[in-house]
Amino acid sequence: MRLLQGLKTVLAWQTSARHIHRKATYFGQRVDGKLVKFRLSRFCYHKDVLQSTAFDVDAVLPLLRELQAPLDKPYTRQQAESIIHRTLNAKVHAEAALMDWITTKEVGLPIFHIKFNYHQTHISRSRAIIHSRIGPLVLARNAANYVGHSIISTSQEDSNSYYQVLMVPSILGFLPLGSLTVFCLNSEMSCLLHARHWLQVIPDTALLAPPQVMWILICKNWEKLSTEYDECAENRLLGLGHA
Amino acid sequence: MTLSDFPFGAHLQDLFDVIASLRRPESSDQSSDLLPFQLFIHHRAYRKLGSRVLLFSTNWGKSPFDIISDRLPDPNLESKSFRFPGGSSPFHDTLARYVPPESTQSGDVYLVNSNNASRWLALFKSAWAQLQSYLLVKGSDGEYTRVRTDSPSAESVSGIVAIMVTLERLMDVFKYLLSANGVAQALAKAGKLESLYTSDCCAHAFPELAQYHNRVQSPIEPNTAISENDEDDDDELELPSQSTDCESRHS
Repeated sequence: MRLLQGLKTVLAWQTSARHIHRKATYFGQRVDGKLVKFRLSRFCYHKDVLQSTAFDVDAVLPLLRELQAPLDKPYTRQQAESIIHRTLNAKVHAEAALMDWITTKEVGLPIFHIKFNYHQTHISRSRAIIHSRIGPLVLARNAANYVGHSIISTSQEDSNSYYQVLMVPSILGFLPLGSLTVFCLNSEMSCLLHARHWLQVIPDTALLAPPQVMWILICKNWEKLSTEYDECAENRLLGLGHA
Repeated sequence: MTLSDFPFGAHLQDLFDVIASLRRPESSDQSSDLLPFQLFIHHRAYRKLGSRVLLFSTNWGKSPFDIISDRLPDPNLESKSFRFPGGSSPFHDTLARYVPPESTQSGDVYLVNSNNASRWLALFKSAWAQLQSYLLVKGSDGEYTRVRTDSPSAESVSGIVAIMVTLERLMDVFKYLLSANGVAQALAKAGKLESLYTSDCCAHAFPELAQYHNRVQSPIEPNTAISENDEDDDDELELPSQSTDCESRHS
């Protein structure tokens, strides 16, 4: 009934504050002998609207071909250009992210809401869920369920398997690829990582970008990257005083 | 910048800092920091909260509590018991003023039935009137027509949170009252009539609603703590589209 829903809307801050408190106070405890660490990284957010970046099909096409399976038919220029027609702008809504986070069962694996603003797309749903693991955002398989099966489809059920997508810096677009994991993080964090573990879509400009610009990295070796990220970014996690 | 106006980045940083500082009390003697957290959240959200309170108060043409009240002389409600554990608290004191509990071996029980439905509703009406007084401003006709824009005092925020706690805990009671004879039909009829209200009248009489409608209709803007996108929140909360209502008024 609309009346009940309206009242629940009024009570939303009360409800979410109580749930967030319950979840947040779960951290710092020992569960099964292990200290539950706070894993909500502020690097998963960026406060500014994404800066637009020119889409360079000549930079994207070679990358697409490099990443696809050897026996597959090479991507055409038209296919590469099609990325721009499925381009999204994204930004993170703090309260929405927190509201989602409190509903997750996995501690330390927050789910973030990214709001997509469509320019040219046939996608009917207006959002995707992005799983954050350790710090860099990873476009998870759930995302496809939210943005439409017409774009991406997969039958993988392994929770560690992510959709293979290509995301273009600043203009977030995606395209099914081979068997790679995609990350997006800001350029400040990209400076912390060594290039040997990942390919950057536009390497010449990434490190020069302002830190609030979100960059998309395509990783060949998730485990090495995650370990490296952990070591570099340990002191940058929320609650340790780094702004 | 007032105490409640923050750029999105500052608001986000504050949110993270506050959440990171939340700690579980190490012993039962220590007080929880839940209440300060609730105060912080509601203080930052008071304008948007006010918009929602105004919308709820006017969406059915008049207060929905008044509509329910009109139907309660013959509620035909079977007696149903509710429990609100927690012992003595301001919440329980409020309940006791309207509907004293019945003591049983297993604790206090609060009954809702045809005989006391109006008293329960009086409790809701009183709480809602208090909430309106904290968040809304009356027009020349004595009705609440605008959202308060000045930053609320600490006492006001405490009052708002106390009412929120009360309303949240009484949600099941409220649901049961809605099942009273004729209430659902009366609300549906009021909602239908209100949807026929003309757009010009709506815009003049309820400027906050018109403003709300404009925000809902506008494209997503950069996130700030000052101006947020109501449509997105409603979507997250799986609420019915508010824009549909407003569109019908403007058609």
